Amino acid sequence: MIKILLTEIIGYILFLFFVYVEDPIAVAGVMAAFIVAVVFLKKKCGELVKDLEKAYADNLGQVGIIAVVLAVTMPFSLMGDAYWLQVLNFSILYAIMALGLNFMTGRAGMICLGYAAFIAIGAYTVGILTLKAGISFWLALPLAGLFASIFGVILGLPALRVKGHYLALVTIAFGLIVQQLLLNLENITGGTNGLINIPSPHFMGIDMGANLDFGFMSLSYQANFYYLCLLILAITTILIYRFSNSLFGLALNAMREDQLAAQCYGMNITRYKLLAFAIGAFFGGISGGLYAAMINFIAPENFGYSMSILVISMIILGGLDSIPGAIIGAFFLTIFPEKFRAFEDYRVMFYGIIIVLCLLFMREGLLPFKHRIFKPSIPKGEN
Amino acid sequence: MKLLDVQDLTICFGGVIAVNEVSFALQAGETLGVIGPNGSGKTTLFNLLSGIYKPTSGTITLAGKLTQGLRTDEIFHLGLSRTFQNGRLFWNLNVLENIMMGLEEVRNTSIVGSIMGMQKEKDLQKQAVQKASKIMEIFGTLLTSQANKVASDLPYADRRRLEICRAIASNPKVILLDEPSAGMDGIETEILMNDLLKVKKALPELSIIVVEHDMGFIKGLVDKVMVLDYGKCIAYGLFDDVAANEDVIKAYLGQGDEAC
Ligand SMILES: Nc1ncnc2c1ncn2[C@@H]1O[C@H](COP(=O)(O)OP(=O)(O)OP(=O)(O)O)[C@@H](O)[C@H]1O
Ligand SMILES: [Mg+2]
Repeated sequence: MIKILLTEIIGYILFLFFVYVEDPIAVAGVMAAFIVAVVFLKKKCGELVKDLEKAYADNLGQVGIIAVVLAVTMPFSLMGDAYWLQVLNFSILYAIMALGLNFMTGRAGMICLGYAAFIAIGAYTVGILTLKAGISFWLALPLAGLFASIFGVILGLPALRVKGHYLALVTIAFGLIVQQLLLNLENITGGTNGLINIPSPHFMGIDMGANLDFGFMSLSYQANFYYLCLLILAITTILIYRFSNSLFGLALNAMREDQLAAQCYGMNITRYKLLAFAIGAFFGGISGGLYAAMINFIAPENFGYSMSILVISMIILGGLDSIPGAIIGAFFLTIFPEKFRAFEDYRVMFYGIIIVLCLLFMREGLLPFKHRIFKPSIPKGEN
Repeated sequence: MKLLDVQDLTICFGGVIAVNEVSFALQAGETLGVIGPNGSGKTTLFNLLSGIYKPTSGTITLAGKLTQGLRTDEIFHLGLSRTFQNGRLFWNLNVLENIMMGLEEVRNTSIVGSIMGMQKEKDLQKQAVQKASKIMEIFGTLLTSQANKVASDLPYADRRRLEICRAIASNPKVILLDEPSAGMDGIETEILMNDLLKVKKALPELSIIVVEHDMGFIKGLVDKVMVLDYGKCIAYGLFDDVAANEDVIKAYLGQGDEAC
């Protein structure tokens, strides 16, 4: 408990430090020192790290609660700073996407290089429904997830016949097709101009587009979305965790390992593949919907191929099929580049380098997937 | 009762007739050995039986049902499971999970149940772990001591054992073993032989079809033998009769021991 609390607080302070120190060189220095420290710790005090890992693995509930409590205080620690809150909001949205894609690709083995399409569908669903049809955001958001799921199944259908590289190509094509549709269906989507003035949601009479006023302190409006996104990230994490730890999740793992063997052992893989696509896409749709309501403006160019690549690099960096990995990967790759905005043009290259480095030197990612430990023989093994 | 009835089974790949008008029947509890030189169609026969390949002609009747047009997983549910010649475990799953994949519990979960954390899902999981642990015990402590090891970390012989465990987990009516002793040394093969006899004893209703190169291995295990050569069944009957058959000696035994 103490250990978990301590390490999470260290992480929290490091992040605040990261935000408040302006000089990119100092930031890079401290980050490098931190990485060296972690590597050193892992080498020299393997026991300590193992202890810590075990403490985390055994007390997932506590880990989550402490993390949420710390996260709730974040807007205050940031003094309601609009810019950094926005960065955090994006991190959270990306974390939701990464969890969804990780389920599809990491867990079920369905490579998807067109994930941005689901995000776009979610965003446009919320945009169109709230702007043009006047439907409440709170109804439009689940519909965004649902529509994305339907598109997930539509992508899944041709994907049933192909594997590996071919599946990757099909999903790239899917991403491009959706983007083209958004460009060309001008009547509904606004074409290249996109949708402007998407209304901000209201929550119990509070306009989420207005500052969050506590009387003693006023936080910029991004804080509203920060809390909403945080809540949805928490729900997403729990759902994905439950899926992954169920027998259904086990079956998806088996399908990833060997589709033919899975079929020979009674899995109707058509059904499982479509479900994996639908579930993964759902969370993409949800995060897209949140994005639309938060930014109030969406255009097809926001949901291009590079976004798909970004989400993929997040889960590769974090560790395929690892839930904490997906979240950490998303946060790292959203927040870290913010300090190096001077090198904005090199951003995509940076993602590419991350993917290559991970695949070469760190196959399993930052926080590798951990197998569940079962206690086999039941009556004897009781101790 | 005829559990499995195969009539004139034929499959062509382009010009190659890999399995050529093969017919045989298998009773419940019976063990059939299939032997034949490399490329004689043994694995192809298994792929036909398990539904991976569709026959060019001929029929397969399993437990009274024609398997024509059924998917692999549907045939599995009729009571047929199998192992693979080059070992197709779920490599990145651990031993227990691999066996659990053979259990019906895995397919009986509801997705809603799994995310709501419902009692039924928990019960099914517990039940699956128990059943899988029990199945491992036919190999003594060999697998139970490695229950949480990832399949790809297992020694070669244990992988073979794990495949057999996974195959019998679903309580099938018939299992197809494709060269279960491949890659094992003499002692390991003998142990495996004893293990299979144990399985047969524990599950007297289970029918087994086993592909092997090693006639010696088959001898003590099978009730009948079928010899394939160029996809054709050239002999079928009791072991001793087949071993004495001249065609067989010419086609197969004459080639000496083959190690793959
Ligand atoms: N999918 C396929 N496409 C084309 N030809 C195939 C296919 N599968 C098998 N064959 C051919 O069918 C013949 C029988 O192959 P099979 O694998 O069944 O032999 P086998 O008896 O299992 O041999 P081994 O002892 O080496 O395992 C071979 O000539 C093989 O090339
Ligand atoms: Mg073969």
